Amino acid sequence: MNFQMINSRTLSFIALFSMAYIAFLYGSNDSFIRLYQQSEMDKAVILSGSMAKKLSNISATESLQDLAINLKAKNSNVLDIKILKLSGAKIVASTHIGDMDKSFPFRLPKDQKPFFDEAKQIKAAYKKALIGQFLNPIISYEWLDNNSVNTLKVISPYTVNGRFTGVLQLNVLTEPRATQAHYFTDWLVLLVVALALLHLIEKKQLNNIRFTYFNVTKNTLNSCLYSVVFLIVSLLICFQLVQEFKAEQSTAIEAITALMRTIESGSASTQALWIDRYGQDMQRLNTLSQPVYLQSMATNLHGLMAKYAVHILFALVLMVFFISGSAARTRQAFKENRQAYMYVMPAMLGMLVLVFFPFGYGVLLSFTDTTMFNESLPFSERFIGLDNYLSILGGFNLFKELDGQTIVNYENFYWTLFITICWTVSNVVFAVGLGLLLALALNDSRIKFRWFFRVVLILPWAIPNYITALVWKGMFHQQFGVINQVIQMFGFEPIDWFGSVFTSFLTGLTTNVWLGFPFMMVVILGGLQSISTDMYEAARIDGANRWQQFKYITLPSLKPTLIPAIILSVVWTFNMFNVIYLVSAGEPAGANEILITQAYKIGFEKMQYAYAAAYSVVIFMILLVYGVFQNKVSKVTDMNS
Amino acid sequence: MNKLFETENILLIIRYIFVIGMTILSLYPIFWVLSLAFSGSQSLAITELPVDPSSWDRLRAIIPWPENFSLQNFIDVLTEQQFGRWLLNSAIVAGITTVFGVFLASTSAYAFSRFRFPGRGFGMMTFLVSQMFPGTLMLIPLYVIIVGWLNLENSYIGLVLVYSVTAIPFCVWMLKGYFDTIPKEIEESAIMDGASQAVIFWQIIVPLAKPAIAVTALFSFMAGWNEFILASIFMSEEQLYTAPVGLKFFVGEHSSMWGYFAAGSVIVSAPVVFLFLYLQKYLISGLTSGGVKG
Amino acid sequence: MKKQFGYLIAILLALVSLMQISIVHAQSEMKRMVVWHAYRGEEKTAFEKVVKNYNEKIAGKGLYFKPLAVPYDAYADKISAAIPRGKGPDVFIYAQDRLGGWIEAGNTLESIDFYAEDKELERFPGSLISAMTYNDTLYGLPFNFKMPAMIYNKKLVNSAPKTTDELIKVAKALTDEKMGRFGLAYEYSNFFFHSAILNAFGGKAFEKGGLVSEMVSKENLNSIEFMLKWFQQDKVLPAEPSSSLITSLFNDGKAAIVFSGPWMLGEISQDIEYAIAPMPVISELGKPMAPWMSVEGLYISKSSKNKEQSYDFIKYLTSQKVALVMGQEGRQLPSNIKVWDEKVMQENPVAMAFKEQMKTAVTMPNYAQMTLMWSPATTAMNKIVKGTASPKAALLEAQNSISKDILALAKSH
Repeated sequence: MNFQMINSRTLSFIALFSMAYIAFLYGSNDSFIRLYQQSEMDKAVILSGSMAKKLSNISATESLQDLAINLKAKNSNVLDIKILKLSGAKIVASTHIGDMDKSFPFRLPKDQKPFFDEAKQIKAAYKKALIGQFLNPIISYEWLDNNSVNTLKVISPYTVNGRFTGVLQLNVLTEPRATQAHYFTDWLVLLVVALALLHLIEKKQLNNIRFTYFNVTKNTLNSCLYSVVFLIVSLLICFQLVQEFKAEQSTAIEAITALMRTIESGSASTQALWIDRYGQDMQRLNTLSQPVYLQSMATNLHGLMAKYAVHILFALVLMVFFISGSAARTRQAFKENRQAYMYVMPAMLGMLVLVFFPFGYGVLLSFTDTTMFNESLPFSERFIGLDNYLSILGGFNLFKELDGQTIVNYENFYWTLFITICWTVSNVVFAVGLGLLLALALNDSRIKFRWFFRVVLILPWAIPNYITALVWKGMFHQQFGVINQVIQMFGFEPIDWFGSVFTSFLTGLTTNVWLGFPFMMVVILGGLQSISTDMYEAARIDGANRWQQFKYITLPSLKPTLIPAIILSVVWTFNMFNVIYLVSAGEPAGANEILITQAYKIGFEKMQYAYAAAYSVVIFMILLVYGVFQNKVSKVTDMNS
Repeated sequence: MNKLFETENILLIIRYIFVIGMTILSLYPIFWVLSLAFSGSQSLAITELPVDPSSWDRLRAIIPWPENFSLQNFIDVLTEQQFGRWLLNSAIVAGITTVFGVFLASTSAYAFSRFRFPGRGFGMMTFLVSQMFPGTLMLIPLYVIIVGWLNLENSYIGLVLVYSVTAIPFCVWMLKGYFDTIPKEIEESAIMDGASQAVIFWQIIVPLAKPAIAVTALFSFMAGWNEFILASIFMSEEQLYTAPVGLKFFVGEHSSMWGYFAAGSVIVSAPVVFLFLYLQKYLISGLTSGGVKG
Repeated sequence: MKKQFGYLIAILLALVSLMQISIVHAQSEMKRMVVWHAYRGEEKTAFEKVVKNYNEKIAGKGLYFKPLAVPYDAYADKISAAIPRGKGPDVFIYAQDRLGGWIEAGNTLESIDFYAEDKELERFPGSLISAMTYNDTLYGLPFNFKMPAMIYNKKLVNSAPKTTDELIKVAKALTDEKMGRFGLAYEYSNFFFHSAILNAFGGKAFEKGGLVSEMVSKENLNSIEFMLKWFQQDKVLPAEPSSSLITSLFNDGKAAIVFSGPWMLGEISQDIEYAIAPMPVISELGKPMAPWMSVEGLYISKSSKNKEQSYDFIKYLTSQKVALVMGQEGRQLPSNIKVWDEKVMQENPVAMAFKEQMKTAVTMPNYAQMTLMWSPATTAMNKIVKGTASPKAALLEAQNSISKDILALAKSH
C-alpha cells in the first residue's frame, strides 16, 4: 500500500471529520438557543397572561397605574409595564421612566405607531380566536437586543367585562443562557479515537482479505471502512449532544412549572390564571399533565435529530466521494477535458443559478403546508413531509356524488393527467405533421414564391398569442362565431363548442396547433438543409422510389434536429398555460384543465402555495421520466455521424 | 418517363393546394386581428344577417373586413404612450438575448457534439430537464435572484439573463443535433493543416451550421420578444418597459381596448417578420436548382 | 456571420450603455418616493398631474413622488413579489378585492389607523371606508369607486326603464335572435355581474366574515332562477356573454341595454349615443338591483421608508381639489363626497348616474377568501346557464369546493 495514498486519505478524513463536527455544533447550537428562547418566551407569556387576567378583573375603583407599579414591584425581572387602551390610542398606565411624570391617560406619541399596529393585530387575532377558527397567536413577543442584555417584549390582550379593551406590554429581563465551552477537547478526543481505529484496521492488513474473499475494489472497501468509523464516531457525538439537550429541556420545564406554581399560590381564584399564546386556557397546575408539555418540547428534539441525520448523510456522501477516489477522478476528468468543460460551463452556470435554485425552492416548498396565511412562519413550523404528494397521487376519487347523481370529478389528478396527455400527444402529432409536410413542400424549389409562403406561414408564431388566442375563442362562439357560421352555411346545426368535453378540447387543440406548427416548420426547414442533394441522386440511381427516399434518407437525416424539437415541444405543450387559459378556460366545468392550469389555480386562486408546488414537482417528475425514456429510445445524446 | 412526369405534376399541384390552403388557414385569424386593428374602433363589427340568410350572406359575414378603414388605432398606440421607446427596449433585450444565447449555446453544443467527456450525457439532460419545471411558480424565486441577489432591477441584463436561460436549452439541443450531421473529416483535415480549435469552430463549423443557427437565433429572439410577466416585474421604470408590457396596458380587469391591442400586436410582430425575412436565406442555402425531392 | 455578429454586439452594447447612462443621469439628489397605479389614457394624465401638484406643494422637503404605471395583469404579482422583499412602491393603488389576501399574507400593507383622524375620514361615505377596513383596522384611503350600472343606446331606448318588468318589456321588443339583436346584454354568467340580482334578493357568497361558504341559500337560488327566466323564457340575452362580445353588440347597435361599468365607456364607439341610469328595481321584490361596488384604495406599503409622508400624500390625493381633477379630467368617480356638490360634477350626467347607482350598490367583500370563490362560482354559473346541472346541484358543488379550500387554508394555521 502506497504511503502517500494513506496520507492524503487520512488528511481528507480529518478535514471532513472536522467539518462534520463543526456542522453538528453549529446545527445543534441553533436548536439549543431555540430551546432556551422558547422556554424564556413561555415564561414571559405565562407571566404576561396572568397579569392581563388580573387587569381584566380589576374593580372600577382601582387605578391601573397603581396596579402596574405594584406588579412591577412584585416581579423583579419585569423592566417595564405599559398598558395601551386601543380606543383613542391612549396609554393608560406605564412604568416607563419617561412616562412616570405624565398624567394618565395620554395619547401614544407618533413614533410609537408599531406598538399601536401590533395592538390592532392582536385585537384581530383575539376576535378570530373567539370564533374558534384561524388561530393566530394573540400574545406576541419579540426579542429586544440592547447590547447583550436580553430583553423580551411581550404583548398580550386584556379585556374589560369580556370585551377587548387594550393590550399590556411587558419588557421582561430574561435569564442569561449558560454557555458550553468544552467542545474542543471533545473534538480532539474523538478524532484521536477515530484515527486510532483506522490505524488499527490498516495495521491488521484487512485490505488483503478482500482480494481473496470479496470481489470488491480497494477503493470501495476503503471507503466502506472509513465510513463505518465515521458513522460510529458521529453517533457518539450525537448521543452526547442529545443527552445534553434533554437535560436542558427538563431544566426548562421545571422552571416553567415552578413559575406557574408561584403564580397560582398568590391567587385565590379558581379560574385558570394563564393562557397560552393562542388564547386557550392552559390547564390548572394540579391537573397540568407534564407529558402534554413534554410532547411539544419533543418536537424540538426530533428536529435536532433530523438535523443530525441530514448532516451525517451529507458528510458520508462527501467522504465516500473523496475516499473512494471519485474526487480525484473528477479532477482528472476536468484536467483532460478542460476545453470541453470550458465550452459548456457558461451556459451551465446560468442554468444552475436561474433554473435550479428556483427549482430547489419549489421542491422545498412542496414539503410544507404553506398557504397565503402562514407564509411568514419559519420553515420548520410549516414542514409536513410528503402529505401534499400523498394527497395528489393518492386521490383516486374519480367520481363524485352530487345531488343524487354520479359525475366525473374533474378536479381529480388522474383525470387531469389523462387530459394533459391527450392534449400533449395530439398537439405534438399535428404540429409536427403539419410542420413536416409544409417544410418538405417549401423545400421544393419548383414551388414559386416560396419566400412569401414561408413568411406568411410563420405569422401565427410572430403575432403575440394573447390576441390570436382570443380571436380563436371568438371564432368558436356559439351564436356569433365564424366557425358556426360556416357550419350553418352548409346547412348544419351550430355547435356549442364549449359545452362538451370533446368539442371544447378541440377548440384548444386547434388554436395551439395553429400557434405551434410554424415553429416546427422552421426547425424542419433548418434540418433539411443538412441533407446533401447527392444522397438523393444516388438513391434515385439505385431506383429508390419517393417513399423510400423519404424513409431512408430524409427522416434519418432529420432525426438529430427533429427529435430534440419533439422532446422539447412535448415539454412545452405539457406546460402550455396560455392557450387553455385563454381559449377554453377548462370548460366545461373544469374538464379540460391540464396539470399546469390546475397548479396555477391551486397556487394563485386557492392560495395553497405548497400544494401547487407539489403539483409542479409531480409535473416535473412525469416529464423527467418521459425525457429519460425518450432519450433512451432515440439515443439523441449519443448520436454522432 | 412521360408517365413519371405526369405524376410529378400532379404531386406538385397537390403541394400547391396544400401550401395555399395552409396559408389561408394561417392568415384567416390574423386577418381578424388586422381588420380590428384597422377599424379604428375597439370592437369587432358583427355583420348584419338577414332574417333568412343565404350561404352568400353567411360567407360575407365570415370575411374579415372592417367597415371603415382608419389608422386611428395605430396613431393612438404610438402616441398615447412611449411605445416607440418600448419597442426599442424590446429590440435591445431580444437582440442581446439572441446574440448571447446563440453564442453560449453554440459553444456548448459544439462541445457536446465533438468531445467525449464524463458528464456529457448528464449535461445534455440537464439542459432538457431545466425546461420541465413549470415556470408559473418560479416568479418569486427568480425575483429574489435577479432583483434581490444580483441587484438587476431596471437593467436589461437581468432580462437578458432570464431570457437566455429559457432559450439556451432548445438552442443547445438543436445545434448539437445539427453539428452531429457535419462530417468529422472536415475538422480532421483542418487539424492536419494546423488550424486551432477556435479557428475550426468559427471558420468551419459555424458557417456550415448557418441553417441551424438561423433557426436558433429566431427562437432566442422570440423568447425575449414576446415575454410579458417577467419584464413587467423586473422593470420599475416606465421608460424601461418592453413592448409586450406596453401592450398589456390595454387589457384591464373588466374591459380591454382590443382595437389598440390588435394594432399594437401588428406593430410588435412586424420586426419578427423582418428578422425572418433576413434569416430565411440561410434556410434555403445548400440547395441547388433542380431541387431535392422529399 | 461572425463579422455580422461582431457588429451587432458592438451596436447593442453601445445602445445599452447609452441608455443606462441616461437613466443614471435622470436620478437627481432628491429622495424619490414611488407610487404605483394601473392607469392609462386620460386617467393616467390626470393622475400624473395631481402628483406633480403635490410635488410642487412639498417642494423644499427634499423628496418627491414619482408615479409608475404597471399593467393590470402583472400588478398583483409585482406587489406580492416586491413589497415583502423590501422593494417596491411607497404608495400604491388597487381595488379592495386583494386587500384581505395581502393582509393575511403579511408584510405588504401598512395600517393607517394611527395616522387617520376621524375628521379626515368624514370626507368619505361609510361604505367606502368599510371597503378599506379589514379586521377592524383601516388599511387605506378610498380613492374612487366603480360598479356596473345600466348603459343604454339612446336611439333604441327612449327613457331608462325603472323596473325589471319595464326593462324586459323594452328588451323583448328589441330582441331578434335570428338577426343577432338583443334587448339586454350583460355577463350574466359571471358571478361579479350576477351580484346585482344576488344582492337584491339578499343573497351572499360567504357567511361569518368569509369563514363559511354560503352558496346554496334560498336567496341565492331565487336570484339564479330570476336570471334564468330572462335568459331562457324571455330570451332577451345573448349566449356565451363576454365583455368583448357585449362591447361589439353595443357598438353595432345590436344590444340596446347593457349592464356594465365606467370601464366600458372608453370602448364605446363614437357613433353610439348612450346614456346611463341606475339599474332598475326588481318588480317582484320592490327592491333595486344592487351590484357589487369595487373601491380603489390608496395604500401605504410596508416597505416604504417614509410612511408619514406617504400618508400625507394619500391624504392629499383624497382632498376635494384632487378629487375634482380626477373626476373631471380622469373621468373617475371620486370617493370624496364633497366633490359631488361641485357644479362640474353635477353637470356630468354620466358621473351622476354612477353616483346614483352607488346608493344601492353593495361594497364587494374584501375577505382573503374571496379569491377562492370566483373559479367555482364561474363553473357553477356556466353549468347552470348551459343547463348541464340544476342551480341547486351546481351551487352545492361550488359550495363544497369552496368549503374544502377554506378548510385547507384554515388548517395551515
